[in-house]
Amino acid sequence: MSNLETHRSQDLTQKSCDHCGLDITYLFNDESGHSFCCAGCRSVYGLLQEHDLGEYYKYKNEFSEVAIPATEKSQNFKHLDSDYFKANYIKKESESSQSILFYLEGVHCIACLWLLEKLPQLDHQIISSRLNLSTSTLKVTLQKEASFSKVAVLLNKLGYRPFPLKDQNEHEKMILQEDRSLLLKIGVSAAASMNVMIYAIGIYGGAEGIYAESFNLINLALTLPVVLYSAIPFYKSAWRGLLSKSISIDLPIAVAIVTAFTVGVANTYLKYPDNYFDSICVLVFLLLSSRYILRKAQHRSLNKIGLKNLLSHQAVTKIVNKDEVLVSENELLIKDIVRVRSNDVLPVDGIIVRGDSTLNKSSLTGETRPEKVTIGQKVFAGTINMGSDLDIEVQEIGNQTRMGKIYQQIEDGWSVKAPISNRADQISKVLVWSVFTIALATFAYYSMISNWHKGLNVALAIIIVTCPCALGLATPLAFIRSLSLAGKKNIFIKNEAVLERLTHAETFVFDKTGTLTLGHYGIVDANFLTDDISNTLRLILTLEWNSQHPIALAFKDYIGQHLDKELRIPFSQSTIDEISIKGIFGTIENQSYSLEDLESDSHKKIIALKSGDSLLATFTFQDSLKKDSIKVVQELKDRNYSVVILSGDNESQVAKIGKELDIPSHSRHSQVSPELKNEFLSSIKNPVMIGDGANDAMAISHSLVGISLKGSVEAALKASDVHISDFRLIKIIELLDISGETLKVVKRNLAFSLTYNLIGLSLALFGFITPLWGAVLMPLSSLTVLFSTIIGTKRLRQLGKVL
Amino acid sequence: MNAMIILVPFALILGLLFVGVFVWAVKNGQFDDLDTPAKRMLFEDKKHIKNHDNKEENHE
Repeated sequence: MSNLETHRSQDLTQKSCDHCGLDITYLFNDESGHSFCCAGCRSVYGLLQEHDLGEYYKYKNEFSEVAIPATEKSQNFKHLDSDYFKANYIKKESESSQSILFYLEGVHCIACLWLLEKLPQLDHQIISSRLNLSTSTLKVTLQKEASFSKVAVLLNKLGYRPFPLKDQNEHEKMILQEDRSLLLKIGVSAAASMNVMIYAIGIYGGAEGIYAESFNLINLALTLPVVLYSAIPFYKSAWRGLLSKSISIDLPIAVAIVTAFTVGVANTYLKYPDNYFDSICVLVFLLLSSRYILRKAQHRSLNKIGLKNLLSHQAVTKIVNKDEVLVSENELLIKDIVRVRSNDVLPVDGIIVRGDSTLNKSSLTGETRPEKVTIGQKVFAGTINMGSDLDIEVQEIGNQTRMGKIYQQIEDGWSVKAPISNRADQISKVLVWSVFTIALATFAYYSMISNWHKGLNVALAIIIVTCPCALGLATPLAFIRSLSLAGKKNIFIKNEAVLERLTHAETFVFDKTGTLTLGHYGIVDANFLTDDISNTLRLILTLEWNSQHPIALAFKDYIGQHLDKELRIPFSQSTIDEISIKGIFGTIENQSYSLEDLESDSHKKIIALKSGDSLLATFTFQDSLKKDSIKVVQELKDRNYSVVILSGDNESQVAKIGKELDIPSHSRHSQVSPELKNEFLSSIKNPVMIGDGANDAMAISHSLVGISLKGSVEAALKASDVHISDFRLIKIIELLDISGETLKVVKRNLAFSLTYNLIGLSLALFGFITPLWGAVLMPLSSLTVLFSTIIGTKRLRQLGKVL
Repeated sequence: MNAMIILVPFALILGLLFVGVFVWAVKNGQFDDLDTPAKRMLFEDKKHIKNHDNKEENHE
């Protein structure tokens, strides 16, 4: 018997994978003595070396902070070669080439860019591959006869899960068009401001007579495209605001531009001074520029590609005239027969027409114990086939499945969840109203005591200088920066409201299986009946060497910690005779050995190594805590949050885990159904739910903040506010720090812009600021907010390094 | 000062020309992806030598 935890932590700090850099739990060696964490990483390493792409590791070590392990589970992606797919996704480039667009999961850094654009070296049928880092999309051009499935297999093997995209849907096209048109507007206004300024200086410098007149006319002509073209976004947004009977912060800008231009034209015609053309151009240019920066920052953060898009590309094995055909899920019809292999997720709801098996329904019900199913039974999409192959007659597809309906409920939940009222917006609205009132009053006052020219000057200056643009920028910018920074740390946050809500959190509610625990079997106890422990472990390693079964992985994990590196090689003279439900049977050096199930109940499994009939060792398998669970729970308690376990699992399991984590029994809740989880969450104040699986999805969407962890089914991902694509719980602490720090920056920004507005307003009131100064100062305040945010969020980067 | 009659239109035409070039660049998609090219330029060019001998090595 041994103490597992200490061994684990010691070993993990020592070795890391030569391909992905992850800690090695069980060792894979290659011929040249490199060590890897899995067979997938080993084969990718070999592949890259063979094609002289070893430089990848140089870039990776230099620039990448995250590991990109190779995918072990191979998929053949044959459905990408079907006619349906070709018609819908593939674009003909020329007579001899065609292209496809993939969205890639897990693209992070320069090393990814380098490797992904070197694809032609790995497969000579690939003509070119171009990656767009900001959208994580890869465009692959192939020879006409090449197969797309092969490319997908390659990408998958390298560790980037590929999702084919239809060539630019309408939505993306629109975004691109908007981007370009905004850029054009900026270009026009920039050119106009520079030229207008030249002639304006001439006028300020004292040009007179014909010169002043012609300069004014030139400036009028130059300002025309700015007012009629570049400033369109302000008019639109102001008008939209008026239509919906609310007030937009663009309203004062639109009013200022139109008034200033009209008065400017009239003054030019009447040969009066003051025509404001320079102010208009500078104002529009600087404002559009800050909008563009904001927009770019926004795009860089989360919502790159709709999740729905990603979900409908699963391959399904359909049975047509007793042959297996791989098709895409959206091609299926009711009454089709679908074959589900061992370890695959059921794609549809239906009736079993052939085969017996056990199903893991945990994604639907949270029950970890597999359930036996047989012919004639109804089975549901989202459950996992743990046993042998099953043929299922399709009854419901997509949205109509039980899982699909859960998705539906979740999406409805989105609209119920009103976005928290944005205080900055409220302040802006009040500000806009008061600015208008003050401006009008000032205009009237100065018109009376002096003349309407003076009045207009002051009123315009007030409107321009107090435009709450910095205020409008203060909140979104800080949030967007932290959202994208968090994204780089594998924390994906749905929207900024989540960050703010997180600061109100009081209770952290954890699901058990897969969240606090690893979610799969690990060896918790070993009992050796022989003295030669290393030989025994080597025997097991030999038997399980080629297996990817969860039990085999748990064995390799255990062996990785308890057997010396040099001994972790299988015996050479060995054959595997039989693999069945009963166990693995093999012959090693002319002696027969077997690994058999001794005892198996819902939460525990005992497996024995036998030589012939004599027992050599027994191993107890159980789901165990994650490495950092205890630390994270303790840290949360130290920060004065209460911690609760909410699980669908039975009482004894929950109690065991709860004791290990030092969570008192009144905070442990077992055998809670998905519906009850909902109720429970609404009974406590400000809960943060952390979990995975569709059974948590509803609960997650009904909590203050819902967090889903890696390994979660897509339902949880859709429902959650935060998705952490990393199994480590420590990310939750990181998330808390990010939210706290961001809110600090936001508050600072708000305070600055309000102060600026107050000072600007009082100076303008007494005529110290001309409209031109206003046009310069106002965007300057936006810039200040911009820099303050960038400096403020820089600290977040360092934050991650401490943890 | 009569030079202004030539210089001013010339300056304006020059300005217009640059706006035209900018419009062309935007429509051509030069500004669509601002992240990737910035990083792509960091890679060193390297003459590619195919090496298929690796498999044979290290077999003792």
